[in-house]
Amino acid sequence: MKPVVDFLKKSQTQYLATIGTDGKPKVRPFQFKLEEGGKLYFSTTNDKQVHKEITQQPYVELCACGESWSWLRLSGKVVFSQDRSIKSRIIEEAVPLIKAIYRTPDNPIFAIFYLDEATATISDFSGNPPQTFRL
Amino acid sequence: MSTVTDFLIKSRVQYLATIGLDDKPKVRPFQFMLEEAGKLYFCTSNQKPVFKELQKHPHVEFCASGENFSWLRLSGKVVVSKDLGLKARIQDASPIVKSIYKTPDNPAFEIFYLDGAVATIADFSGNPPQTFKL
Repeated sequence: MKPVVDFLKKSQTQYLATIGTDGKPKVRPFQFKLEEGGKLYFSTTNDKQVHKEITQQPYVELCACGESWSWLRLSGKVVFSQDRSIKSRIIEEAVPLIKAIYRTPDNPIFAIFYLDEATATISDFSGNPPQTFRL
Repeated sequence: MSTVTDFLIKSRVQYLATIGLDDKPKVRPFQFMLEEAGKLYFCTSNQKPVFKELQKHPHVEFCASGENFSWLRLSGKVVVSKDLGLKARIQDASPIVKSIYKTPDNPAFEIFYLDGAVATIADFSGNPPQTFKL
């Protein structure tokens, strides 16, 4: 778990792939928020297209680049959470840009989710096989 | 077109989303190769899962980040090209690609462009995203 969390934190931006409501793949920049109880949390707002997509098709994959041409692929099933304490932590730890969007953990558009059945792979061009983590 | 091509070149790495053979979304780092006659070209190996995914579900989307928290999303339908001259130009333009495939006629080497491509560049400026039909 730790190498995956460290990789996510260092990468700053990840790219979240979903299946669109038109059945075609979609991908946009996304940001890992925090790990809690062995779960990797992300946030969004429920007025966005991506929220509609992950509600309809909860399987997603994220990708990020790291040092020395390494890359991470993380897939799993989206599970929405209503945990107010985690929502609070996400807002507290957020950069001002995100804080300004969500404002309070009770904001009705603020949605958080974690990945269930998550698998991560870290690969590089070293010739070593990719490392796989079941989270 | 040049705004989109410039964004792709400057971003260095793009992320390509496909639908996997298991019908779940997949995404991995990818690299834009070149623009020719208004088409945006990429390359891969037909030995990779991504190539099988593109053949089964040719609609794809790329995403890349740019300056000042801007980002590009580029979607379209993959069309595989067998143009050997273009394969040679792509290898000449990319030392990494050349080192992997050696020659344009390497049977594993595949190039493709996006048909019906649409690109959107967005940022947090408050201005609406710019959309380009390519």
